[in-house]
Amino acid sequence: MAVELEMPELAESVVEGEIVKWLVNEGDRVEQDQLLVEVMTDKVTVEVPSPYAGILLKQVAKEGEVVPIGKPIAIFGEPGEKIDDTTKLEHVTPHVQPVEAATPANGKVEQQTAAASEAPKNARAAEPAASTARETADTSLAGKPLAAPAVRKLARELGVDLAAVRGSGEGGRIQRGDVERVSKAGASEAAPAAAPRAQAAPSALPERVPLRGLRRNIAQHMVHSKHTAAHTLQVDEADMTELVRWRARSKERAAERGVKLTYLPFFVKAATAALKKYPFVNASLDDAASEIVLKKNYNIGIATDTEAGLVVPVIHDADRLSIFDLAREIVNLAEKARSGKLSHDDITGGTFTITNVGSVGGLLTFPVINHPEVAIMGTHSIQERPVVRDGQIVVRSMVYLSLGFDHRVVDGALAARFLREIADLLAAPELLLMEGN
Amino acid sequence: MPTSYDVIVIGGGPGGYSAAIRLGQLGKKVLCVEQERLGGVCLNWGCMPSKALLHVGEVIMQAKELEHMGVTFGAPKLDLATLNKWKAKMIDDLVGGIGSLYKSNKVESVFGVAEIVDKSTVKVAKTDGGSETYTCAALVIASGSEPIPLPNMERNSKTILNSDDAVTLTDLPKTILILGAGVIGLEFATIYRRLGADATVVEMMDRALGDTDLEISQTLLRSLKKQGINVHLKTKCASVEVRGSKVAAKLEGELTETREFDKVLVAVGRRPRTPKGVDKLGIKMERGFIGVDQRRMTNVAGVYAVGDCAGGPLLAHKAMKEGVVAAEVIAGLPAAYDPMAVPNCVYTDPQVATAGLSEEQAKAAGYEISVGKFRLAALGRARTVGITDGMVKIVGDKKTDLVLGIHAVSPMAEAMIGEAVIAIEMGATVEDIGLSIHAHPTFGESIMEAAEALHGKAIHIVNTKTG
Repeated sequence: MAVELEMPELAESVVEGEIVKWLVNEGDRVEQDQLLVEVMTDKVTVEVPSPYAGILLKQVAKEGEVVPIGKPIAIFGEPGEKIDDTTKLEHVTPHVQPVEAATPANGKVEQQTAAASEAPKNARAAEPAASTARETADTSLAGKPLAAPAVRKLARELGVDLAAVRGSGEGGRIQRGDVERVSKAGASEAAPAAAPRAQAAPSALPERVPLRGLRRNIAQHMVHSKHTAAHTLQVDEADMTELVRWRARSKERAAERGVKLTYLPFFVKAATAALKKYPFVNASLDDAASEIVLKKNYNIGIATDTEAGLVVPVIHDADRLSIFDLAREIVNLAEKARSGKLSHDDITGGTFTITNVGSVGGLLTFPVINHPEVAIMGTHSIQERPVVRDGQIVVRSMVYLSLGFDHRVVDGALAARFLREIADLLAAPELLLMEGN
Repeated sequence: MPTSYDVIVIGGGPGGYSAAIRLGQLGKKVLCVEQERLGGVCLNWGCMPSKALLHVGEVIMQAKELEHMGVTFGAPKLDLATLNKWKAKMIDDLVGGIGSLYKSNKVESVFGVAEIVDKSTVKVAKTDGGSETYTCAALVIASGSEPIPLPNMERNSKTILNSDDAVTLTDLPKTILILGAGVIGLEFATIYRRLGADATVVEMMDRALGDTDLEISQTLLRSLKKQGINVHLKTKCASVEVRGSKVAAKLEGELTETREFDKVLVAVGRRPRTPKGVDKLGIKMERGFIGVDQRRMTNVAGVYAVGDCAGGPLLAHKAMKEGVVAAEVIAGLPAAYDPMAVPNCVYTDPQVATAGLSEEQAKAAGYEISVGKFRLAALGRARTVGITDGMVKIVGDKKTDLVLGIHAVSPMAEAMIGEAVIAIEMGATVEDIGLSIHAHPTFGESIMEAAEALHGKAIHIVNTKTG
């Protein structure tokens, strides 16, 4: 009897998962506990093992499809078993292995690159093509998929690679509806779309990269944040002259302890101190309950640029860590992020986020709040600038600080005070010593 | 400041004018550079004048054949001056038609020889003197092709001709030797034979009409022989010698002799013609042709090539399709040149028209094939016009029954081949064709009969197991 496999519960409070990659082809035999499919949530990527030994009759959910928990993703059965709408199906939910160290960045570094560049896609295309060749042998003429001229034109218009479409017509002929279906699903059925698209001219064609995995998560998350929070910006500047000296003095000491001392730990330290003083910035808004939730721990997210895109690993209880501890943790998390080894815990629980665009460049950023947090601080490059002190123009090391905040919770005056607090702490680094450890 | 255009099209033949007109329709500012006459070879020296001459000859022949049906006319009197005048007017009308289409689509044209300076600059040495430089955002090269000359057989347009000369009938030869049994050679053999000349064709290969299905070309050769057109395969013309108003040709091969002819027509094929300066662009060439992708774009972004200069088959309808594709791509539309079949017509008597794979090509492509044939002797409509020679052949994929190729050597084959192209493009099966009612009596019925014959079900012949 055929068995229907449902989307398992992948992690706490996760309601749906995106099929990133099938690890088993339709028609292939699967052993129990063999890894079956890679599924990604907004939090993690999980390789789901098969709870069942048998033939994978059908991949109900295609790659790129987002499936709610409990909805069918695959059908198993015996060799040669036919399934149709009348087939009675037993339901099984696979047990998900403890979340393998994975974050939106994990696996996606690999996955996403595959989706973002044509070459690996073609490489991937080669594999399923072999398995579908059997099916499509009857449905191609001179090596081209069987589709009428108008259907081929539609495919070009919709950017669908016919080689990646399973035709529903007689003998596998590709019909208009098949092309529309694949276009809507945004995914290919036999192989990823990689057709050269005759579109723009006269010079270069735009390249179309499917919105998948981490990129899609970022897109959704950012739009959600922008639609939800009342985004406002506050900008201040801090005199870093003292801190620059401090750091210069401490660098060697730090190196002896194997710590690479950047400015970021100081920003984190100053921010945690300011968050303690202004609890409404270390908060979130519970819309349903009409309550503002004031967080009692200080978990600082660090926006991290990876090849696959933005990830935000979190330094938990940053208020309890020394500058050196913070420095170590930052390096540790950044490495994990880039190698795709962040765990579920590493990327959850943040209460405030820092984005250090200064390491890249630019004058000022208006960062998007990492919802449901209510504020995010952008730190910029430290530059020697002429400033006026006691009526004299002097050269000081200055930095701009920007704060993107949710005006529903944080008012402008609070944001200004919060940012000033940070600026004051950075200007007088000895004060940082007074802050919790 | 040079005048600037969205697109410059080099060449006003079928490929170039189709591109220019479509670009105009799509709102682009277009300049077409033509070195001779709009319409290119097709309108001026190729398809159109040759078909006009074939028509004249066909009517003369048919009049003669009416003798069997009890009708006689006097011997035809040929006034070449009037014939040429009529033909010239027909061509002028057609060329004028392209001119008015240009006008209504706001396509500008300039006459002269184009030289590509860089991918966005074209210098034109104008026919009426002087030169002018123009700039563009996109460039379409549609410079066509030209007859391949043979060494030691220098064209003099009087006794040694190429196809450009052959459509201009200044005097009628009594004997003509045609080198090459391709489309051009056989059509001219037919023209000259119908107008009363003795036409001899020699071909170095062991078959006529290139890679046309062998059974089809052989069927045609038998018909041609009955008409007095002798095609000698595996024969070459080793040398020619102009002796006054005659040419002595030394033939070697299946026919070995030295014979005098009034004229020799060199019709051994055509080669791509590319504009001056094209080498400066770093365009990838493929065996002398300009290399293009499905969009008809070269490896240089913004530079396109269509028609004969961009590869075979060297056919006007292929060029026109490519011109439209390139124009649409330039306008940002998702066009592509992706035909499943390009039809090919030969205007001999009977005509040959083919689409898709020949028997040999299908086998070479790895198909296990089924073949259905229907001979015109069994076709009522052919009998009504006194014809018994000819056949239609369908090549199908044995496994899927898909139509792979349809080949006809038949009167009206030109009109029948559209059905074949649609069938292949739509992925029709041989059975689909057999099940579709074809009007009776027509020549087109033979396609249905051939389809039914493939499955051993044809009504009007005794079915034998085939393929």
